[in-house]
Amino acid sequence: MAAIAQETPQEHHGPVHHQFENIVQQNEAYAIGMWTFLVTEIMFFGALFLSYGLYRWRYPVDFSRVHEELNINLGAFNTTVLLVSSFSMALGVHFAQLKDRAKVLKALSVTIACAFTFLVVKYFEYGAKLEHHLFPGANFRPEAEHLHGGNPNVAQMFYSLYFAMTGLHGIHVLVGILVIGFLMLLWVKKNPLVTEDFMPTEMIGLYWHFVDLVWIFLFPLYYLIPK
Amino acid sequence: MTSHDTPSNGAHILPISVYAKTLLVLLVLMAITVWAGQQTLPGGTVVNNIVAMSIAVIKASLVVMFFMHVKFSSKLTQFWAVVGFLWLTLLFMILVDYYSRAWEPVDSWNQADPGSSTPRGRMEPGGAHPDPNGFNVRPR
Repeated sequence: MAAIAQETPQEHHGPVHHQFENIVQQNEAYAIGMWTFLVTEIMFFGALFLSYGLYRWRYPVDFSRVHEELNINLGAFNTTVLLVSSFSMALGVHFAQLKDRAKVLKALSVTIACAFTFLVVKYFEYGAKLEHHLFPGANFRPEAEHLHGGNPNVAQMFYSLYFAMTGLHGIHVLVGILVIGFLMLLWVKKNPLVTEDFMPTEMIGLYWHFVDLVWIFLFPLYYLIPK
Repeated sequence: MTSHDTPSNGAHILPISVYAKTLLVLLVLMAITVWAGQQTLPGGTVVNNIVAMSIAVIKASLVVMFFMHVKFSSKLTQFWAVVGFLWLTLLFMILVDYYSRAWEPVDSWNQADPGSSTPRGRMEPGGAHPDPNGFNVRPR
């Protein structure tokens, strides 16, 4: 009883919180908690991938024609940017494990810069689609040249899926920027929550790699449809 | 390479070269998938699709294994990671329903009867879908 009474919230409790046996168990609990969240994210995106698969299967020729409007170079550029951002995020976690604060901040800055670049490219891609009246709905009235011989109704379905899936992915990138920004703030302020324990950085890293993972599938499905 | 090199924060530290090599392979695979997507492969577009999706799965596995450390994680973490993707394959089994409709011994729904069962088109193997404008949408 006395031991419990002595512990106050202000007291520094060392790296292992009282409910865990040791650091390995604690870190595993963190990782599994994050993976549970990621499983829900896989379900979330999975349903969208399924609807995409159905329509692509049903209208392979129209999907191929309509997709020619998307710019492969921009898509490949954005893929590269996200892969590099994932690499720098992994380095950020690596330096967090080594408690090298300056290098963590450098690596996370690169990740955030890549995330911004990705969104800027996406902004121009979306802008071009809106300009050509390719956004599905009442204002969908593109010139024939932007449909590349595809059926307008299928094109509308294609762009519905395109905006829903890349838009949802874009929101995840935006959230990633906010979360990584907050993580960097904690590192700048030398908050022991992140400087003493690398797992918060690792968990945000897991989220960011998941965002990369979704794009790895979105890129070939939207930009590389065979004729 | 398990607990004997674990520092006080419990980190399993990999050399930077592991991450660099992973990135390099990912970029090479991306270049291959862009190239392969524009080729006319023997066997038709099905082969293109299989190649593109296989490369995407390999890339995803590399990210999960090395960037997300699942290769070096505890068995329980690995189990969780696999469960998510296992669920995804179960979800995609729904496609079997769409695929098998053409096998059903039902000609079509009765258009004159608004209360007839779920509309099903009959597809000859390799033939065109009876409703050219979409899925089995009942005319009203």
